[in-house]
Amino acid sequence: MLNNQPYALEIVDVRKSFFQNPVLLGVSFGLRRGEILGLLGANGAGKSTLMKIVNGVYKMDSGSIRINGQEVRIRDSADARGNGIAMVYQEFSLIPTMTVVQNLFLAREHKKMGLIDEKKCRQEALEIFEKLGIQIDPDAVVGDLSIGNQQLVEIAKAMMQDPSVLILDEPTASLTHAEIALLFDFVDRLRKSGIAIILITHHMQEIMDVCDRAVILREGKVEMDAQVKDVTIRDMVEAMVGRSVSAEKLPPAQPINYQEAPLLQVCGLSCLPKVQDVSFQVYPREVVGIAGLLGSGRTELLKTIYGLLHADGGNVQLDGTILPARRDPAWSIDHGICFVPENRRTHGIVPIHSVCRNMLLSVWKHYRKGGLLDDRKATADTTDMIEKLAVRCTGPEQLLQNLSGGNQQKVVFGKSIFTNPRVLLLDDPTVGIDVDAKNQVAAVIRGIADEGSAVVLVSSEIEYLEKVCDRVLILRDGRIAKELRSGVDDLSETAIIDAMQS
Amino acid sequence: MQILKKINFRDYIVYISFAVVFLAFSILAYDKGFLKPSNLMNILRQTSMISVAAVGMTFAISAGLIDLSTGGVTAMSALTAALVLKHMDNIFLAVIAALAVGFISGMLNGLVIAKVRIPAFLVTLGTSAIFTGIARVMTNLEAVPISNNTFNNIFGSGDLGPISSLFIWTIVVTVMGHILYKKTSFGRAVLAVGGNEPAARYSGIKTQRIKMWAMVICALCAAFAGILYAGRTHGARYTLGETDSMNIIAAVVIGGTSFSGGKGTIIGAIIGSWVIGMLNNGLLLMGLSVSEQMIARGIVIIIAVSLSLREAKND
Ligand SMILES: Nc1ncnc2c1ncn2[C@@H]1O[C@H](COP(=O)(O)OP(=O)(O)OP(=O)(O)O)[C@@H](O)[C@H]1O
Ligand SMILES: [Mg+2]
Repeated sequence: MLNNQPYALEIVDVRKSFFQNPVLLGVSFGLRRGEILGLLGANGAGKSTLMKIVNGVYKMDSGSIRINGQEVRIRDSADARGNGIAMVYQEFSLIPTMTVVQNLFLAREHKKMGLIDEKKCRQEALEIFEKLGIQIDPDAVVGDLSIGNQQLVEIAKAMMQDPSVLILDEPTASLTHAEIALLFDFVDRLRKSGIAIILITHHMQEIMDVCDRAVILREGKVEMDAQVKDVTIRDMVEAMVGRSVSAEKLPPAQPINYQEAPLLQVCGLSCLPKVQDVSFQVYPREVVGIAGLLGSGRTELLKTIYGLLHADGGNVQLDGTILPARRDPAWSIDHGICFVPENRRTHGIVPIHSVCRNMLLSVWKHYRKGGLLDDRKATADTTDMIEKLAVRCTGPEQLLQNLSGGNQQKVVFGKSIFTNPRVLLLDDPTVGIDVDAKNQVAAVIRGIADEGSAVVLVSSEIEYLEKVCDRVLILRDGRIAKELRSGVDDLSETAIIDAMQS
Repeated sequence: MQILKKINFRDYIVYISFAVVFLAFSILAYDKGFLKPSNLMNILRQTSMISVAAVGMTFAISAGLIDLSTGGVTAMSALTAALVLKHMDNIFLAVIAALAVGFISGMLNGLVIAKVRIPAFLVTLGTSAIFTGIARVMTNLEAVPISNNTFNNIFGSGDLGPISSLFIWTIVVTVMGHILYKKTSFGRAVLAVGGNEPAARYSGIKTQRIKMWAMVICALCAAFAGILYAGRTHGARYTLGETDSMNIIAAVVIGGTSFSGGKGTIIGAIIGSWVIGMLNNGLLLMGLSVSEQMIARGIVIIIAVSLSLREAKND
């Protein structure tokens, strides 16, 4: 039945290079009304680039785009909107200093006699939130919202345009399970109303759950274009990375000795209202996972340990010594405590600096030779790290803003490893990185732990916790609700999710 | 505690600064007549030019820009008004010509910023010198008196009942600025460009065009300040507005506008300008020498500005 309709959106032989760096070498596929197409590919495969071409942000070198069989020219986002295309960007298109309503109606405010009709805007915002099942204060300033809520606002904003083609670039990367379920529920309703949807994600399971078709990009070409029901996750991963990838658990090299003195000890730590009386220990060589819903205080807990937030009570001990209550990040780094933030855009990177400068940001003082910076050593070490994490870039000198989203995340991660941390605090380090890279990051995390460090890993990806962690703490409303130990308790995804919600 | 954090401290800091400075001078300069209604009206009158220019500057700073060339624009505009009045004695033409000078200057700033993509700071550093230079050659450093009393009354020296016409103009410009800033899509676009430029572009805003218009509005306000200077002093000189730039920027920032853009208020900028005005007046009343006034003013400005920037540090 579906097959008789014309393509809602057709991409024909699109090519694009950035300077000498060819990204798309002739990509073609079509998308039907009422179809959800999963667009897959490793970090830097060109997914975002292709979608930005469709949306008029980038210009293609050659090729064409057709809407309902008609070739169209899309020069800017206004053209795209005119053709019924709406996109949720991987880098948010929200203005952090403005309120939710102001953002939703940005550049298309309702007006009464030339002035903005605030009441009507607000009213309509409430309606769309109701329709989408979103509960967010429409008058909140966007910069104050959690990333997950920002994502929801972003999607609501795209929906305001009543699009016929909706492009979602990694919408689930920073959402938790409940929110993802909500989102997909909603996407499914959109499909039924005849909207064509492109979904970019690095979660294979999501493709299986919601997509009708999967298109996989590799090395600038379409590697696979298949009905989802005809393929398995394994097939798709293989098409993506070009070889098979194992998904086995990573055990510690030698068993963890729980009789030993703990390396990191958190005692009754509070940072009100998000963190309340939290106590736990991390032993040398151990990876402790923290699972919890959005807003359960995961990020705040890590920040308090790191010294970005000051505790209201309790203390943190390293090797049995109580750390000063008023420590700051510089102090923490000097003492071997390192933190990888979740929001790389604002906290992790300097976009206009090179990969090398970003990676060595925290450790420049170790790269001095006779008072000057030792560029050669810096470049060499960065090159090693680029290899170790499989960062896709043209070299240590490429500017970070020109890397794909996932590769930026890898650089943030690499930056923290450079400090040789004894305690590594990771806040959702795998947001937006591809399957293969996730495995590499997992191996690196395990490698750091095996050298005797303690790792605390916050992740929204439960299966990732299951794979890497020796213990998982469940955080609920700022308190530790449960502790699950690998090999003793059930660490499966369902068990963890149950514990999180009960 | 949490609630206190929620009420944005920074939005109110300008009122606190205002109250503190007002109280301080009420005590320190009481016997010098600081509190006399005539003195208070005098402060409003002296400050109007800064207030009006601060309205425009709020647009520039909110868009993530800055305008250092307002002094030159003010002087050029005042001289233009005076010259037109001298040769044609037509108030309407004088005002239009003076505003046109502002429009063209702002357009020049805006086009260079938008098309050549040079930071506003550097562009206006350059045009500031150019505009001041032009103001100097316009009359060969001569002052131009204005003998048209209707003009002088409407734009500076006159009163409406007990209220100075300068104050009325301040209110008019403030209200217009406030509506444009808070109630129109243009105002929203300015904030969006200052808040996150790529995101604004993705949202379909023509960011370069918005920047250009923000600079035009800034220069128009500076030009209007020039008209008020001309009316108030019954003439024009190339030095009018010369030292105002920093006061204008300080007023805007004390008023709660984020120096990096994306957030601000017009009302705050006006109150901020009155804080600056009270400082100038109060320090003078207290009999400080010019050099002492400068030092005291600098210190108070730094304190007020650092209070209003407090929030930015938290993250
Ligand atoms: N503006 C730019 N200038 C130069 N190179 C760019 C630019 N934007 C993207 N690239 C390069 O194009 C390639 C594809 O990037 P793109 O963002 O499309 O990847 P992606 O498939 O979306 O990856 P991810 O899953 O990590 O988001 C990358 O190698 C990136 O470095
Ligand atoms: Mg991408």
